[in-house]
Amino acid sequence: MMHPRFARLSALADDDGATTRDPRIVRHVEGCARCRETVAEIRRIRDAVRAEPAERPGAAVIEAALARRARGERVILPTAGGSAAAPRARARRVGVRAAVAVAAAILVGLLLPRGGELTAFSSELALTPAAPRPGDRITVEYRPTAGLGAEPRLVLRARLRTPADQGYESGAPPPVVAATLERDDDGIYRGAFALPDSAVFALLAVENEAATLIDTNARRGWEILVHDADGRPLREALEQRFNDMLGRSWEEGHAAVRRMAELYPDDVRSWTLLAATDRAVLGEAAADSLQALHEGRFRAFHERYRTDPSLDGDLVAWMMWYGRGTADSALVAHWEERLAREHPTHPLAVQDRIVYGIAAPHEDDPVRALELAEELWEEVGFRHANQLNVANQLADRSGDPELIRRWRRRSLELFPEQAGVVGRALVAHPELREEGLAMLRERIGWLEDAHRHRRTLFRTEAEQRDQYAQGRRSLLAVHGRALLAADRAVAALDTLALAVSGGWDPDLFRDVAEARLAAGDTAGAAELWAKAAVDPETAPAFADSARAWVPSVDDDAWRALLRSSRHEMIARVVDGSIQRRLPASLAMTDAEGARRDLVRDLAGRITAVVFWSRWCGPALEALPGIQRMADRLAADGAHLVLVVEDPPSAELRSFFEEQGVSLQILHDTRREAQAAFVNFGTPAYFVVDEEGRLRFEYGSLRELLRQVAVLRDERLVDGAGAP
Amino acid sequence: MARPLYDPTSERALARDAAAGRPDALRELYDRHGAVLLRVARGITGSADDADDVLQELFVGLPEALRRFDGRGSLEGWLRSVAARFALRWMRAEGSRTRIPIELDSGPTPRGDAGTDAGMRVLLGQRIRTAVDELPDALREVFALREIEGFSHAEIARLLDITEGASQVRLHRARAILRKRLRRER
Repeated sequence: MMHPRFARLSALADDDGATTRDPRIVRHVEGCARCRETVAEIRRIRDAVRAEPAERPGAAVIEAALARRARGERVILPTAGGSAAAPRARARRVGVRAAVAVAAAILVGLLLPRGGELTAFSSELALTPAAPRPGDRITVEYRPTAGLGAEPRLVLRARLRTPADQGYESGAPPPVVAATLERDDDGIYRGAFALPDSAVFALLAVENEAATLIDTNARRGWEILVHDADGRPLREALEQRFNDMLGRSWEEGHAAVRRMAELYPDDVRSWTLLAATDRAVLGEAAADSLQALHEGRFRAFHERYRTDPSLDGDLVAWMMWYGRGTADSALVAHWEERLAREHPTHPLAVQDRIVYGIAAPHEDDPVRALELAEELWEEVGFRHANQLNVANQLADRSGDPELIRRWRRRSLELFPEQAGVVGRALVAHPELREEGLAMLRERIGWLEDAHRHRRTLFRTEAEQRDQYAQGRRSLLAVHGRALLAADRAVAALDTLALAVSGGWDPDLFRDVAEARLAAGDTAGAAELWAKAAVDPETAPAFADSARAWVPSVDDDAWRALLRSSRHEMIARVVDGSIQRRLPASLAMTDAEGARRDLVRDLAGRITAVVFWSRWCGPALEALPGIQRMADRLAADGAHLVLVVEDPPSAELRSFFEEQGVSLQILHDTRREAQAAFVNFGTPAYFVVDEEGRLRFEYGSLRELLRQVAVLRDERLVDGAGAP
Repeated sequence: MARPLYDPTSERALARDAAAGRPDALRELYDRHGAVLLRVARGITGSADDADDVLQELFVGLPEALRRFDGRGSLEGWLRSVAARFALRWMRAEGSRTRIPIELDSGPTPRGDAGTDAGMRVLLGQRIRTAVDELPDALREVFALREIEGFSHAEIARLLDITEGASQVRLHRARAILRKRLRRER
């Protein structure tokens, strides 16, 4: 009699349902003593391993670690995402983070961008009244910046926030046209509009009618805070200002909640938000010293509200939130229990129930967790992305297509703009592939002309179109790969051809080349391998290997392909560049405390400028990669400067030393560079050309190499973008 | 300063203070979770010395890393996954280091009848660590993550940048080797 292979018995020994059981094997094992013993033995080994008591580590380890910390040593730990094993994450970049602005498409050789954002600081926007009440009529006077002054009329757009809106740009409704401004004889543009009664905060920008030029007031925009009868900004207005600053500026967000706490000291929300932002903005030391203040505040609120039986759900939830950041757990437990008991359907209560009541205790049993989540769904419905995200993660872990479909569908109903994300998730499962493909197709179609009706406040129509095009190409690639997996090669190749028709993604080129070769399209494969080969990120040896894969292409033709690919790379990458003059000088301090001028340091060579912070997790993680990138750029005659906001210190110097960092570091203590580059976060990557013009902004570390190579070579291509 | 008493049912305050780099909080964290983290490190590295080193590095870096802990799921679960990631990175960095093989028959002969379940457990308890340590790195990592730490194949696949299928195959191979070795000793 044939016994099953060991691997099958081993799979059977996993009694957690992770592997599907073949009934024939189950039947065999039931009747076969030898195989039964093998399975039992595997389980005994596992049980013995698990039963081994955990050894307690000695005190020397922690004391040594604390001593090293006291000396200022730090270790960067890999905390999440991607693989821990590979030296580089191989994950493909999919689209661009929504927060990252995509540069305008412009022609090389012009000093002023033909389209894009105007950064002259000379414009003025006056709003009357300056402290409007809800629903007030507001008159506008705009003294234009140079680029806009020739237009007969301009458009004032606004992001209007109501008290219920959420954080980040995505948490607010899309911008609306607030008013048309007509030019008067004195060159000033005037107009008026009425604030909707519900609006408490607005962020404004001015653009021309064609939406090709925008005055963003150096990305600050102009703000309206709605005030009360006593001339105080409404608490809700300050809270929405804070929400609007998320993803833009922590400092300004912190300033908004500080003002909230000054004006509304009796409101627990002010203090909750303040406690939440203190640490991020003021740093550890200052936040620690404020800890006692928050603890005292919380206790005072606790005493005031503890016995009040008629608190609304929001107030209880804010108390819980404030307590979690500041107080000891016995006090917090009071509010946690109260929220759960009195307001079990409050969004924060629902979130706690799904995270701590369902997902965490059933971490090992996602199917059971989802049964409970189903009950919760029937009881309250989920209205927040966080709640659905937890359910979707559980469904993904269960691997059950029906559960995955159900929860992803629910996400889609609530958040239709998630169609791409949902489609991506579905096509990964053969059973759900067709459904996912349909969703992707619909989203891809929508993205085609979405820039006309859905545009963020600071983007021109062209920038928005580029942004959507990038997202569209990324979805086309997912769609094409899914078709390939479904053995629909012809349709797959058509889709993938569209995906590689714009942008520049060497990984995608390689994937599509392989698909083309598999389908017998040697010439098409060669064309894409040549593109991948000329990318500076690709190892030089790749060109030789790729050449060998397409023997039917002769040497001359291959060389011609490489040449045209190079030109095309330059054209496509330059197409995404900008040209912005920097101020004549930017005062900085070097590591020894001496004064330096960033602009002078930049002169005459292509320079990558990286804004970096010691206090930012992603920035810390990127540091070794930044050092490697600097070394590679140096080999190419380019330069990399690390701009740090903190003042120079011995501690920071020794930190860099221990991390093996030998970069040029400039300290932007006056934040001049931050203002000139219009930068809000870290790590942020910019490239400045030899003429000292800012050419690429908000890129990624990976892209720097290509951007620098393209700037070096763009002159070789007829002095213009086209080959 | 007296050591603060952290409520054992809520770890948020502890995580917050540890994130601020407070030594007393870090000691408390070490008391509570050090043993589990040492086990993770030991399972992946297959060496007691390496495991101690990994644990020390981990606690040097924890405060900064904790600022990225989003409070979703348990603190211990998060710590274990950070420890696993870091131990794997440590192994890759160590790369070509040589290890002195431990003689399988060097220990005292176990008591009890290895043929019975109880006897098998005694035997395994004494031999298992050596046998697991002796597994090839790629197999031991999967075995430790799956059998000792209970990670799913999907999680292991993400950690090691391999497919779930490859994770399953490695687990089967590790089990086959362990079974053979432990049987040979009976």
